[in-house]
Amino acid sequence: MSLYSIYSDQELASLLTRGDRIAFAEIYDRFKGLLFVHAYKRLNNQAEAEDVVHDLFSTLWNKREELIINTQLAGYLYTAVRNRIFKIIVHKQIESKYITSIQHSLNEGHYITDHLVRSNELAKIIEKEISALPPKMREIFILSRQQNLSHKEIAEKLSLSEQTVSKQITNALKILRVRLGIIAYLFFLIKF
Amino acid sequence: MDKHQIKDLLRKYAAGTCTEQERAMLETWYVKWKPNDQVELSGRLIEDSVDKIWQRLENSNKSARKLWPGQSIRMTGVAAAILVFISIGIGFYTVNYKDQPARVADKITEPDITPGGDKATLTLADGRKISLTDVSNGQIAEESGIKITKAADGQIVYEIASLSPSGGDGGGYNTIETPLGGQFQIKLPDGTNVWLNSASSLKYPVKFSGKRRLVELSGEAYFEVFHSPQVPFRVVNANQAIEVLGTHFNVMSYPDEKSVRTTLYQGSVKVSTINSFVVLSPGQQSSITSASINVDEKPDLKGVIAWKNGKIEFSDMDIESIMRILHRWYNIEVTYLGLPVNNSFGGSVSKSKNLDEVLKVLEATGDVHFKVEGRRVFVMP
Repeated sequence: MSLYSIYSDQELASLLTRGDRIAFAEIYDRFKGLLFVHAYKRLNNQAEAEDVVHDLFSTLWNKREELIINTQLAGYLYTAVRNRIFKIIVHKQIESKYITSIQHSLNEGHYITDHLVRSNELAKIIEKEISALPPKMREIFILSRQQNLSHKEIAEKLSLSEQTVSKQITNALKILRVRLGIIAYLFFLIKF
Repeated sequence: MDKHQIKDLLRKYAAGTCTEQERAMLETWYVKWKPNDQVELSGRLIEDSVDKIWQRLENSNKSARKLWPGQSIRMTGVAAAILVFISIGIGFYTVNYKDQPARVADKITEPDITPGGDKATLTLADGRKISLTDVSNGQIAEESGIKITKAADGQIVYEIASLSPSGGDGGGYNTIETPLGGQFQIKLPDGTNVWLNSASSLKYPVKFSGKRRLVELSGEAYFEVFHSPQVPFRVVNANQAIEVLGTHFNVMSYPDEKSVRTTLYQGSVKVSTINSFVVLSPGQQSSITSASINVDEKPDLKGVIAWKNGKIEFSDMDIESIMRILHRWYNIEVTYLGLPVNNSFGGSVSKSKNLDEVLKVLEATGDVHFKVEGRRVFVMP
């Protein structure tokens, strides 16, 4: 179990904006499978799907300080992967199945006006693709969605002793406290 | 709406200039769109891909780190805790040293900062790490029926000792990595020669099989690709892919440089990014930034590969670029003090000289001055 798996998406996002690389790694572990599967199913091309996910996370890290995740972290990542898939479709042949499919859809003229509804639909689609994930990746994602599990339940799920889980969590919090202290310390050094 | 209008609409979407209604229309299509579900997706493929992406992310972040240089992203709790103490150390170190750095000219007690040398670490497909600096000549390891030896001149040589038992992906990947102050030359299993500059890494299959010879580069390397028209050679890194049949070219892809530059010396290469590509002719150089690919018709061909020929050479280069080169070869940390140095510099120095000789050459221009404390170099106007 990773030390940071006890944090919620929001907590990880907030740690990320402060430059925490372990938080970044945890976000990657949580979402890598889903985002890759989603991109792969739509682009049907391994290299393109890899580029989409790589570019997304590379931007996430490079822009971490300017990051304003005003929706859920998941929603942010899902729309980011969608926008990148659109960017790839832009460069597809005019006769490609993508353009044809869009043409049909637009000519039908029905569309969802509320962007929140569209975002929820997108989240549903992506999280449904969880069945395609290898078991371990699926488990990490599902666990992260069950933030209110007790230590005992987490221990059972991961076949660890309850003591180990409590200890890991205590350690994680301790380290976090120390690290945040240091960041404040370094800011102090830079400012004065 | 016809297909050309759809394309225009997609372009507007990508540029972020759609109206709210147009956006809604495209995004509705996206959520209703049922892509072909017959796409084959194995757990293995997913795992391989996400590992590969992580590797790319890790490589491109390696020298972008400020606070905690040198650690791997996946730290254990203990490593994180240790790092905290190191950070405190660096904090104090920096503060103390700000007080009284000595000038290059009158430094007496400081030991010379010596240049780098032939140093590298080879990570085998099974995870074993071999330091190529210390290993004696002769056989290094045998895997997948391939003998890896280090010849007397420092070159790594591959020999196919026996037929590989299984076809498959040819026995996994090796990674060769040079530290700051290191460089190395190797011959890949297909006969391609690669010169690896400092702080760089190259990942390549133990055995090339299939339709492509695929290697992953981070940092800088010069390639002399063995000509094999049926099996293109492909170099990928975080921002671009280069495809060639058999040519000589240099790739500079350090994450702390503004662009990825590919310089072609012989033959022909195709340089692609996620959404465009160029084909280079000999003597041309492509630079890729996040926004675009540019082709320079008259790059400094000699300067680009001076590193491979034992020289540090720069013409019309700003001080930051020069200091990044020195940082990689002399493993120094650089701090800028006072007003920025805006002049450009030109010159050529042997890579076997100690750092202070290089700094003296630069100081002789009168436009820049240095102070050295330990491995930290202060740059001042």
